[in-house]
Amino acid sequence: MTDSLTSVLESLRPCEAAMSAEIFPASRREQMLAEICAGAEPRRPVVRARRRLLPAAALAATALGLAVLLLVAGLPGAGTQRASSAIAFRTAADGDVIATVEEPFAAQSQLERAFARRGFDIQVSLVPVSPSLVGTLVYASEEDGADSIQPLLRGPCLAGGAGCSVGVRILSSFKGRGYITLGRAARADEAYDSTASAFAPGEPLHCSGLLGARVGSALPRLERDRLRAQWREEVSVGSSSRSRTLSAPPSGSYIWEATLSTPDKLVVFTEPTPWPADARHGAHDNDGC
Amino acid sequence: MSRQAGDKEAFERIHRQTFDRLAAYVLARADRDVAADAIARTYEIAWRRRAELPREPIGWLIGTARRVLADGRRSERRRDALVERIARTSSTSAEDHLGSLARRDSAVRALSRLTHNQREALLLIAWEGLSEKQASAALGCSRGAFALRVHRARKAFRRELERGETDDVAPVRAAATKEAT
Repeated sequence: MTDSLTSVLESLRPCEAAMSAEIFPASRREQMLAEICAGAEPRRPVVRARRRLLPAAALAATALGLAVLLLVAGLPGAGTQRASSAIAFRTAADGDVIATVEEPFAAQSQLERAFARRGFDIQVSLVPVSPSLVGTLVYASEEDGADSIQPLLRGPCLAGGAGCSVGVRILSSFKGRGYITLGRAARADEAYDSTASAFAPGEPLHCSGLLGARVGSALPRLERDRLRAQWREEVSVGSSSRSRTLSAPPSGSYIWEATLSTPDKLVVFTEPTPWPADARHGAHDNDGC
Repeated sequence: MSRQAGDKEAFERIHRQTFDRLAAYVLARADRDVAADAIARTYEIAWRRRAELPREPIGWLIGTARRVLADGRRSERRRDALVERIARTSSTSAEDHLGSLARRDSAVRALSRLTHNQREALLLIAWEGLSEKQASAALGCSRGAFALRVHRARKAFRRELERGETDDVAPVRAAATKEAT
């Protein structure tokens, strides 16, 4: 971010943010730390193998949903059934409504009708997304900006926007009009509104072996797949780090992440240090390959 | 040294190295009492899950604190707490920088018109000084998705600053439009 906008934003920072030393003096920090370390035993690490299966399972479920939808669509009188089941509703104990999109490929009007039947004025729109996000929720908001429509996050996920969510929690305080955006397939020249990691299941570099590879060795594959790359490098600045865009591929650096911004344009994040393949590194996937 | 003692020593080091940045994040978004609880809760979670902490844990910690704060707010059913807080508190230098309260209010309004995710993306960089890698860890999304979100958030913020233009806002807009897309 360049200085002008950053300085406007910095000027809005509440002053207490710079007062941690006064608000939490050393003695208080030590007390907090002692209480924590005397407390609970460490939780066992999450079993990653299960987590890795989730995106693939979600894709399979989506594909199955689509197949069922297409089958039902061919039956006489199926229109009413489709409209009524496009979204499943459940009321939670606190009065919030949990809405799950059962048929993400249903027409926009069918989804809106399903909300209307439940008494919600919620408009649905469809935006272009990278392949693994087709059919998922991209964004939810409401007219008064009250954040009373919240995505249902489904565990660790490789996506932006509302994550891998296929539903929303509508708070009991919700009123007025809301908006929900679902992902659709993009045209060849269309920019994505939301993207997942290019290494995620369903994305073009999944199982490519390029995650962690040297940039130089990745170039032939990118050329073969006709992917145009924009190269970015993370550089250390003291104890922090910053990203910068490079004019040429940094052949000796390593690929730490990549994402598509259009069906044929890739943003590749590189670092001079090797990618730690054994690290609990979060949202990276060459898994299941 | 026993494993337990080694764990504790390593965790104390993380606590020492990250406390100010985590506290700054939380204090910018919550009152002191709430902040103290949220910080304690965040480190408590980190202690329990210390075997899973990444080598550079600040993004993970801020992401955890973000969820802790969100859980608290969900029960309060409050409107956007961050914007409310910005609106009623600011640094002394804010008014020095923007020149007038009116311009500051315009910037707050512009920020309030962004989506929650857009605001978080911008502020993690502008306030917390996180890198894209750290911020994407905090928000639980890929680095690419985060970069895209920041790009759009910047455009949206600039557009909202322009939209809310008044005579007082002009210098802010001029500063903002210098930014390359």
